[in-house]
Amino acid sequence: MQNYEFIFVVTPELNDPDALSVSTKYQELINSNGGKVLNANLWGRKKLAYPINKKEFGIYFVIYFEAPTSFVKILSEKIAFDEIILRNMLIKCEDPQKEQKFFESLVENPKVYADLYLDLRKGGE
Amino acid sequence: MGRRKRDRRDYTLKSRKFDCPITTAKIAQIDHKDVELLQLFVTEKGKILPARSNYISAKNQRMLTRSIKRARDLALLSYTQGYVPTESENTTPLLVKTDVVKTTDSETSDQSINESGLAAEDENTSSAAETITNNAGKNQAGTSEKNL
Repeated sequence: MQNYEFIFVVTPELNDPDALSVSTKYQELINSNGGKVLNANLWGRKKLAYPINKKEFGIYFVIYFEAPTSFVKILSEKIAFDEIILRNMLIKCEDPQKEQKFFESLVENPKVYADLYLDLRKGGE
Repeated sequence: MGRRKRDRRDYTLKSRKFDCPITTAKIAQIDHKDVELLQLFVTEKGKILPARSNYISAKNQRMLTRSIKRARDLALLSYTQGYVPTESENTTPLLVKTDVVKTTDSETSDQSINESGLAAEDENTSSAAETITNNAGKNQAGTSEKNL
């Protein structure tokens, strides 16, 4: 059993309830294949840095889960056939609770860690 | 012939004489989601700055490049233009913590996803997380799957 972090971007044309149904669909997939979802987040509607499929906005999701290693192949096959998803990334994770706290602190104040760095640079120089 | 400009006995890189600012600032983790920190190490054209101009250690530079490349793939950072701060449509971030969907049926509740989603938008000033019940999500998922 391995801990994973899964980020994926979805088309902006969906309404709020449809967007949440996408995440529940993947959570059910995880649960049915012997995995366990620890945390699921909706990051929000963001402007993309470059257009993807001629779309400028995207809805971001972040899911932390635990699953056997045989599940990765099943997931990647499912994603490839799904037209709603624009981008995805699956990463191994050591401590998903710690990552969740980090993520929440980032959403509250995105400039937390940048300010720490900048204060030092001003003081040093 | 003459003496080489960089004779190793006498020459140390200027960046190695100072401490790495990331370790002294106690930033434990450089994450690919942390765009505000990453954009400080990227030029106007989107290139990654070398370590000798940042006074950063080698280990942190490796973590930085890895996270910048991941953020570029996820369309959080651009490949050619660096970081362009824009105001999104939702000026405040919407963080909605969804409940874990369990295989066994849990107790029913009357709250639907529409109400909770709109309530989150109304509470814009405080970026508080709201939970969503299981069965509301399941019912919506069932209907949406039938429609698809």
